[in-house]
Amino acid sequence: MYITNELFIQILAAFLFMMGMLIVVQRRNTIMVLMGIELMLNAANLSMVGFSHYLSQIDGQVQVFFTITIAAAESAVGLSILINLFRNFGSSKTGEASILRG
Amino acid sequence: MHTQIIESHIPLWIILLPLIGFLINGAILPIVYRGFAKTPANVAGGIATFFIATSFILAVKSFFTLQGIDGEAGGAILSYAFDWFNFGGLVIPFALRVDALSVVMTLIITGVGSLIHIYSIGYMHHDHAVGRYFSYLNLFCFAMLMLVLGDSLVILFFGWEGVGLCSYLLIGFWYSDTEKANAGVKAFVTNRVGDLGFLVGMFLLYRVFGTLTISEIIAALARPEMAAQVAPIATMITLALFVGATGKSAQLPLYVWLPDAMAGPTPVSALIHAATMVTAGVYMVARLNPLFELSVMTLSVVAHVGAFTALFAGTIAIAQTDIKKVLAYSTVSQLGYMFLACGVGAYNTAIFHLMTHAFFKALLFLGSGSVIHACSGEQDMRKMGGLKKHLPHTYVTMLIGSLAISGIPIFAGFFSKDEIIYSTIALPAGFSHLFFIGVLTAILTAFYTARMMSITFLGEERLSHHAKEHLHESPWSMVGPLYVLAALATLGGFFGVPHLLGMALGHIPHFLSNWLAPVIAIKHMPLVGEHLPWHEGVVMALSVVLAVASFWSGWKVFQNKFFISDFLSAIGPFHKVLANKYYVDELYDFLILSPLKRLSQWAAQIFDKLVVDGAVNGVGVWSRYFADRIRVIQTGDLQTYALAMIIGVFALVLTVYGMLNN
Amino acid sequence: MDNLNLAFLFLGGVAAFLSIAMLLAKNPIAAALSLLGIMLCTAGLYGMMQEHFIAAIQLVVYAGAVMVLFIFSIMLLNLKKEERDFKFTTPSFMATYTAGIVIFIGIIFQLLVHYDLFKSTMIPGPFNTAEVANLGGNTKVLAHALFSQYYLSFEVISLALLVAIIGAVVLAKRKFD
Repeated sequence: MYITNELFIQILAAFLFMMGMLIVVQRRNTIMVLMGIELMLNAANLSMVGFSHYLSQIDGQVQVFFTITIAAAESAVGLSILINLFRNFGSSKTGEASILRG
Repeated sequence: MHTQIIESHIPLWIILLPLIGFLINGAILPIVYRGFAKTPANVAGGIATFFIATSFILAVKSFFTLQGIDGEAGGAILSYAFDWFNFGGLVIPFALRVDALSVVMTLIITGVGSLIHIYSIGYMHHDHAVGRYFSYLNLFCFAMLMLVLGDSLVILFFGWEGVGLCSYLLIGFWYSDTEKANAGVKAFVTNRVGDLGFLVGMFLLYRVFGTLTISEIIAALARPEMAAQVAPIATMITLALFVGATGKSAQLPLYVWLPDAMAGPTPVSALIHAATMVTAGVYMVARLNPLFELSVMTLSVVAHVGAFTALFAGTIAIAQTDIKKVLAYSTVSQLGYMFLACGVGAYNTAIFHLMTHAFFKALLFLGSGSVIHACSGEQDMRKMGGLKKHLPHTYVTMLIGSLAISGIPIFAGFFSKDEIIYSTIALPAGFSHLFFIGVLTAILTAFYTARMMSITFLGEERLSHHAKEHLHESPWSMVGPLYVLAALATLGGFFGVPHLLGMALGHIPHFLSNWLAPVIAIKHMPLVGEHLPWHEGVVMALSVVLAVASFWSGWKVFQNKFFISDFLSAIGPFHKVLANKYYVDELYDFLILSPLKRLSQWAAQIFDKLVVDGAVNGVGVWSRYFADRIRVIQTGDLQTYALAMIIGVFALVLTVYGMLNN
Repeated sequence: MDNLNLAFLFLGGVAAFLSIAMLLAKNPIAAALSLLGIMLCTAGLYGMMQEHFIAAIQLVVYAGAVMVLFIFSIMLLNLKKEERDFKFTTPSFMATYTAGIVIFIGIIFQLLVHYDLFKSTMIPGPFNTAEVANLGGNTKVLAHALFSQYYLSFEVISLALLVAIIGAVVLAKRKFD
């Protein structure tokens, strides 16, 4: 089967999503976790835009518009939390904030 | 036979007035006077007496209404309030019925009750919880009236339990004394044991008849085909009901509470344990007499239990030193007579004896209360004596009461007791051995009553110095009712003059039997006995001679001695058994109470601690154990949680996707 | 439905390579710059799919604002180059990678199996390239849809932005001692 453009976009989106997930789970620095989240959001956006182009609809692009907005807001808030985390625990390693350990 | 029914609200008022008195004395007066201790005796007693006296007036009015009804079947005043219970085929109407039998009982309860209320005002004057006392007394009257006026067995049972409750409350009135409180508990628990039998009887009755309304049951039994259908099971029903009567009316084996019940105030003993509550069993048997008639075996059991109880209690009474205990055992003995009468089929005689017994026993109890009050609370007869000149009114009235109970003519007891003794040989259901037991008990009754009078009022004065200083005749509020009751004890016998004497004295009919005829079928008693071929006149003369002889001998012998063993030394060791009431209480303790106590201790200390607490604690321990194992999941590591979330979301998406595709 | 464009392949490959670099980078700044590169590639891909407005937004918001924010934070926290502190054979590591590969293969598989389905059952919408050009360009079409059909969501998003601003300000304040 040929890999058409549209299919390639979807495969690329899936790959980027997987990479984002691995970064979130694996990297020990909190700011890396946030960056992995951003990568996952980007991958989802890419997939949606791909479908919008493929199906000749506008809804995907509208959704992406909103997603980018929310992602930006979320990263701002997330970084403030990161600053607070850094202030309270003295480092930004994810292993430091383990008070809820059972 | 068609009973004429009049609808009226008077029965409801008869019941409700004492209840209102209870509420006022129990709730409103303590609020007004800020506590039971500060309620004056006159106010509380006056209110209580007002309500019970009004009930008496209404009862008299009902009596005259019933008398005005002509017809062989008599009449009844019915008061239907509402359907108390209407569910699944079981209909229990809240209906009160004043007919020939219940109006007699109501007159006794309200009449003698009013006299006792008036007496209590004087007796309990210095007590510090008088308000509570009178509220309980009125509550008792309410419950007892409900018992006798109820048309349904359930209402009767409600009153049955209510009088048991009030008996507990009043016996243990001075509850700060543990012994008195225990006596109250003993009375209540023993009653409850009997009530189990009563309940079983009620269940069986409902099963057979489909209704618990007394008038409907009696009407159904009038049909011969119904009577034939019921006859096989009637024995079980009536035996069960009789067990309940045994508990309430203090027969063997459930009589043990009545002597202990003397721990309560004396007017309580007079009202509850002489005149009204203990007669509830007799009333119930008399009311259900068509049912009892169907079972020969139950009637025999009833007669024998009654006779044996009478003799048993009589023998104990001879050896008692407490004046109230003598009267208590005397009550048990006389109740035995009533059940003996029921057992041989003479129900109307039982009711007659109930009536006369109410008069003279209440009189004797109130008189003894007057004596106790005068001797500053002393109840032991060995520390009394020579009170005849100090307490003349009490002496005269108690003497009349003693003559009445001993069966000496013309006083009331003679007519009723003699009729019972004659019916044991005259009626078809009688037995000749019961005749001899009855006669022997009559001799004992006269003997111990004369002993009581003699030790208390005659002989040398053995009072303590302190009591002698405060010796005084009782106030008129106490002496007045004594005289009224003495008059009733003298004249009450003429309600039931037997046929033989009635013909001789100018055609006086047996008023009570004729009056009760619609409810209790009159049984013809032949002039010559069936079981022993003695003429009724011979029996009457024999009983008079024996009663007078034993009263006279008791009077003379006990002037300065206390016990029979003082002059009959052969009886010495047996006398100890009598004085200790045949050790029945100890026997019950050994057979029933101690095993129960051991069982309770086992349950509390072993079963409760180990099994129940173990189970409850075990749940906690088990939870902890599992929680400790599961806690490992909470690593505190952010990214482990993230991984778990991602896997979870993915699984969710797969599931939804799979579901959508199908 | 064209064949694979070479530009697509190039941009996609660069993005994939940069994401692997992000995973393995020791220096946070290197990771941030990789992410920036991925954003640029993605913007390029958007542009090639004739979605010019979204491409522009991606560049301005994502690459321009969000990544700058990230780099500011890294510099503020003074994060240094760190050592790799994991082993490849730990259970959590293997579980992670297994999960990732499973997810990836799952998505790809579904795509490959059902891609044809899309072609035959879906009715394409009205906004193919020619029509969009007719209507005045991608921006105009998007604006029309945003302010007519999705107006409510638009308003809600503004509210969400307001909440985010307040939240960020509150969270980053120094506590008053």
